[in-house]
Amino acid sequence: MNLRGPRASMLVGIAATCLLACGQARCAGAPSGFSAPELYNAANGYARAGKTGLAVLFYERAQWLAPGDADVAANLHLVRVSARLPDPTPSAFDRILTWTAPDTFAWLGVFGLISVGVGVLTRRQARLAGGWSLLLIGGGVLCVALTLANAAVLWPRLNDAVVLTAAASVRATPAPMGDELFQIPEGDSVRVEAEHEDFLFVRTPQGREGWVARAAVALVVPR
Amino acid sequence: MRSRRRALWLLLLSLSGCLAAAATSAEPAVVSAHLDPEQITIGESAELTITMLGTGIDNLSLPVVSGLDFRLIEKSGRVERIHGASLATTTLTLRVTPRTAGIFTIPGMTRDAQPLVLRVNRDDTLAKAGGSGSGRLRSSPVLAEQASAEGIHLTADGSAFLRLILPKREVYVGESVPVEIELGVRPGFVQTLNGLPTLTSGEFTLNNLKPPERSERAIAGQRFVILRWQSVLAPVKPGAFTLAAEAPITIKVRTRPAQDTKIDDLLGDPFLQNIYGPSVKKDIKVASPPVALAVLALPPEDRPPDFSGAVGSFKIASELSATTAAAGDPLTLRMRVTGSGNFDRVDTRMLEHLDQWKTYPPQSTLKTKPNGALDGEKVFEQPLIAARAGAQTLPGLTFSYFDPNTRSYETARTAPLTVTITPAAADAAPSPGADSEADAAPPPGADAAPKTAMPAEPAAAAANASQLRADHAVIGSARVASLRPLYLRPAFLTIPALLSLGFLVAWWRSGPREPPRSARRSAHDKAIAKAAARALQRVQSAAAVGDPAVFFQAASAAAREGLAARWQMEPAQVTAEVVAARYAGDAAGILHLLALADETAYARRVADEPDFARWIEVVRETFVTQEPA
Repeated sequence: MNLRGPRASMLVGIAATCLLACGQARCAGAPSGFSAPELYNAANGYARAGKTGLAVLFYERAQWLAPGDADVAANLHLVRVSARLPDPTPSAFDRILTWTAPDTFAWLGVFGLISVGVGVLTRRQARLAGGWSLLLIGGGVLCVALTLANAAVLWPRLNDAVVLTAAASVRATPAPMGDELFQIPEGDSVRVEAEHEDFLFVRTPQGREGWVARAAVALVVPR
Repeated sequence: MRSRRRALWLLLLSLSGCLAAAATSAEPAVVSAHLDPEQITIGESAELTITMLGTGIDNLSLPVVSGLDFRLIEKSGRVERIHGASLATTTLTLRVTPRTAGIFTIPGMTRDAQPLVLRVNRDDTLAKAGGSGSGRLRSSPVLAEQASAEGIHLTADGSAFLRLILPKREVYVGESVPVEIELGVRPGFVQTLNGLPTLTSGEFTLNNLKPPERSERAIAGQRFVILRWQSVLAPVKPGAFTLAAEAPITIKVRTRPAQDTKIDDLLGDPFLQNIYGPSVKKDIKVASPPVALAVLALPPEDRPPDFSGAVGSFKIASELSATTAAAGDPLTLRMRVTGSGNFDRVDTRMLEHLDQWKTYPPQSTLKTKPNGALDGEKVFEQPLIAARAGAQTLPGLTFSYFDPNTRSYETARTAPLTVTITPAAADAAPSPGADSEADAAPPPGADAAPKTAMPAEPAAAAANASQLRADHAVIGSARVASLRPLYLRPAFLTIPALLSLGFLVAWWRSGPREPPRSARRSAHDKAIAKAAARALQRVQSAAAVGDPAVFFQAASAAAREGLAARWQMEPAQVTAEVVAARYAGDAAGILHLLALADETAYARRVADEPDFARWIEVVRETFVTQEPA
């Protein structure tokens, strides 16, 4: 094989990508990983047991992996309504950009990158007709843009957390003896904005802020 | 007539005599005037006694001297018989009170009377500590003696006293000693209290004084208002000291003679004391008699390592805010220190390091009795967070102090506390190898309800459980190692990085694309066609003019342009030789055209009726004719 040619370079890149993808797939298939059905079933179990916080947490995680799963969305809505918790409705823009799992978007971005690269090279080497290369480049750019948009939408949600205790005390200072500002009900969602030892600085959807014990909440996407 | 004049003169003389007698009676005759004493101290007063003949002294005006106050205090009169004649005399007694020190001249009461001189000295005795009053206004010996018998030392003027009451004469450094400060003031004599009592020794600290208790008390038959402060003092260093207290007050100094003071003391009534006679205000400090106090140092031997300086008698107790808690939930460990002593030095770190627990520095709250006594309670609260679930035992707490009664260090202890720590709510879905179990996935095969520590199914939850959609099949479902998106994992990001690198290398190694021959030909033909159109336009225009010279010049130029475009050279380079060489003998028309153009340019020969259409066709062929082989 003539490794000096541009065709060989592109082949090497694609081969490396395939190897890494296989490695990723093997890691993803590890038995200790997450599975949307398992998360969903666990959330159902917690919901039946009256553990609203854990139920919401595991539904959120299942929805993270399977955003389009109607059962997950329905049960999450049911649990929230039963616990009189706010049930935010995502906007149409968010629904479009999160119609599938983030990992799918990640591979879509890789595909788009390959498509753009191949299109640009073929146009440069004039091996394909102009229309085909333009189609490849356009499609690739679209895929990459979708991936970036998905990342931009999900980036803030990486800090979302669910309250697990019955009434989590939100304090003015990150200390157990700090003045209590208010309480957050179990199952409510908050956004973590800072950390200090055993406390997290959280903001509620209503805009209230304070420090809550780390043990009282759990991140939807563990770090 | 002469008798009339004589009678008139007698009448005038008698009238003038009567007027002279009246004038004489308007100014009483002063027999004597003297001061007693002629030298006094500021704060005292002297008496000016004026004796006059007759009784008509109503017109007598009091003298006016700057710096002196005159006040009539007594007026008396008597009738004496001298040589068989009655003589009435009137005596006035004036009190002369100086406002400042100096030498004052009191003018004579009549024209002929001699002026009097009063010397007023400064009062050096008032400024002395101990609150002595004026040199003249001494306390009644009777009052002073009786007060001293009750352990009270009055000020020199008997207006106030201050007592410092200590329960013991031997204390330890840092020990809190209850102290009472008692201030007694005589109403009417003491006007204001200008500040709180203070200690005269700097080796002791005195707690803030709260508002005093007020009462009244009779001392030696006199009414005193008693103000009593209760506080705590603490010695700061060992040694033998004398301790006293003092309080600033303002007293009213009476300026009456000493004999009147005795009467005042007997009357004991401020109203009667001040019913007449001036007085001045003086700021003094009333001091208590000094008290000897021995301050002992704490023994260095057997001093516990956790001794914080607490001196007294204490007891401790401990408790937890809850006996069961979830891991991660904060608990509060309380330690109550009760007893009597210097609570400001009562301190403890409680549990500093404890396995499986996260400890925080304790905070304390002091509750003391309102009367300033030593008894009190100090509560320490220490937040604790259990790291692991299970039954755990907190060790007993200790507190060391020095007991001045036993003169030794003591250590109080509490019993260990047990607490049951349940798994954290976030730990309900355990997963092996995860730091935080809430951050882990549920156990594999959790297609049914998880088998972890779930509570019994509540009735309310069961009601909603029927509305839940059914579980999903787990077998064959895709798994991910982490919920974190792939594009945020460094391992995955190597894929687009390598791809980008590969494409860049391929881009760099592949040269710029050459356009296809057909495309190149097409572009060339388009350029030639445009040039031909422009050239033929010019030739046709020249033909329309009908001038053969102009026509052949235009046709020659157009033919050169066409051939230059085809051969990709400059039009000037297109010569007959080049054309002949390129066409290899098949260019007779073009060569003839070029020759005719030269002839018309140099020989000025005009061809007869040139065939413009034929030559236009020759020019056209230069643009469309195929490249010669």
